[in-house]
Amino acid sequence: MIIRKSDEVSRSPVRRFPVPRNFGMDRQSRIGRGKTWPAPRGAKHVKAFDVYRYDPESGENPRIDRFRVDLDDCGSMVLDALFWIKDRVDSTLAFRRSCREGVCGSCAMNMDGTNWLACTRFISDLGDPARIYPLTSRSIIKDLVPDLTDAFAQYELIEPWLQTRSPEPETERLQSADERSRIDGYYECILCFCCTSACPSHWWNPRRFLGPAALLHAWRWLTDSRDEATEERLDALEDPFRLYRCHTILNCTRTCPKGLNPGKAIAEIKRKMLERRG
Amino acid sequence: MALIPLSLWFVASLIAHSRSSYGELIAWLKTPATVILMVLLLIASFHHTATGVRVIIEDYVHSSWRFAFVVSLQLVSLALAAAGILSVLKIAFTG
Amino acid sequence: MADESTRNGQPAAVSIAPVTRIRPRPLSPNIQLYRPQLTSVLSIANRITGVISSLGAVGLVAWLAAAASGEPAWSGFRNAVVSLPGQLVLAGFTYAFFLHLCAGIRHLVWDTVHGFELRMIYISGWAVVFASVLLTALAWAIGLLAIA
Ligand code: SF4
Ligand code: SF4
Ligand code: FES
Repeated sequence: MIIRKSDEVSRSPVRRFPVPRNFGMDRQSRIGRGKTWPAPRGAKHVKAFDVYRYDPESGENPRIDRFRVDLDDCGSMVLDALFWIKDRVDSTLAFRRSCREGVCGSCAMNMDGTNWLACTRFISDLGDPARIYPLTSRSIIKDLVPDLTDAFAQYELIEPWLQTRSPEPETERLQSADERSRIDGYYECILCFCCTSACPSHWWNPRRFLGPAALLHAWRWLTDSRDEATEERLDALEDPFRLYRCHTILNCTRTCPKGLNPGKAIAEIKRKMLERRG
Repeated sequence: MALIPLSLWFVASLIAHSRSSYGELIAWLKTPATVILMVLLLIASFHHTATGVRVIIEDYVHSSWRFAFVVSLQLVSLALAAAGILSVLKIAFTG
Repeated sequence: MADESTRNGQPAAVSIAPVTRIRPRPLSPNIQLYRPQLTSVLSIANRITGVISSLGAVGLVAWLAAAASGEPAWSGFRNAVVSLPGQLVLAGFTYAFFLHLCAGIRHLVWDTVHGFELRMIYISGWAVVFASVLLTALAWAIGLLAIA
């Protein structure tokens, strides 16, 4: 149930929206052409990787470097290819990773135009050249490493912890199996922010709209039978921007690498709001 | 939500009247049912326009122009709805 | 007691190396990069057709005003609509209206928290595309047959 892959849906043949590559970008964000590295010698199966590079110390704009990876010498996942590049070609390439099996959420990035985890995306799923960019619409620290401070601040804003008013019981606060099942599909979120970074509404209002990841967690606590702060939580979301900037575009559900459904969580919150108003 | 039946009614009647002469059309526009539905349609559609375009403005405009845009949008919607309703009433009572 | 160089009994920082932010951080691309997919394309289409339908509503007001101000104005309006460009514009409005209508119904269903499974999202998305084309064709077929 958990990994019901959103990439089971076939991808559209159109690769980009018909806008210029540097459309509407401010001066420091425009992307230039970078280096092209030679193909590994003697390699039989080679795939090109166009990788977004940004070096904060050079004072230069981001650029796209082209690497050629020897597929026979490299594992099958995109993360393996990034390691291959870092080990064999350019050790300055920066990216986040930890678990290499889709549970930590560190390696989220944009591959061939969609956000996903580099450790669970097959190299063979990508075109040639494969296009590797950091998570969309983020301030970039270096190469493929985005600044997620804002995203985590928004996560914090929904107060992601159990809040109770009733006196502490002697034992644990119990849940029936049915009550427990209500947080299924929400508690599994690994905070990779693939969804929030894929949300066009969040692109245009990154500060004031909380974005799908934070709102999914808001619902995870709203629907938890043990939590007693429902009213306060709803009050905090009653705002034209925090919640209601979601226009049900559903890029979030389309991209979640854990097969979760932030769009549905948000719809649940909206319905709850409506019920409360009567 | 009232817009769905209203607008469908309007499209259907427009098709029905695509061949009508001026006289026939005016006669139709004068019937009380048409007048009521037309006024409702105008109110509903411009209300929907005003709220919808307001959301679009709030999405894309981040400068101090936002407020001015939203206010003028609402004024224009109001004026258009009023103009439409006035025309309907004029046909109904004079014509 | 406390003199200028100490605060809370601690020596004030002597010197801090000047922090030079070399340049503001870049923003990674979004719309320039993200792959169009049915979800986002239909959403933006819903917006655009909504705006077009609003223009259609302006057209409706103009039509009513023309009818109200008498036969000559109305004939002028009618001639403009019956001309080829007028018909094309009208066809555009019809399609925009139906797409916005179907997408709107899809949103109403979503508001009841139904149909959020990815499969359903895609099924309903394509349904909207085909239904809007069909309804437009139907409306025009009826309209043209009525004329003939
Ligand atoms: S459904 Fe809402 S949160 Fe998800 S991508 Fe769309 S606008 Fe963003
Ligand atoms: S909902 Fe999915 S895409 Fe969004 S942060 Fe959680 S795991 Fe990542
Ligand atoms: S490295 Fe942990 S999710 Fe990819």
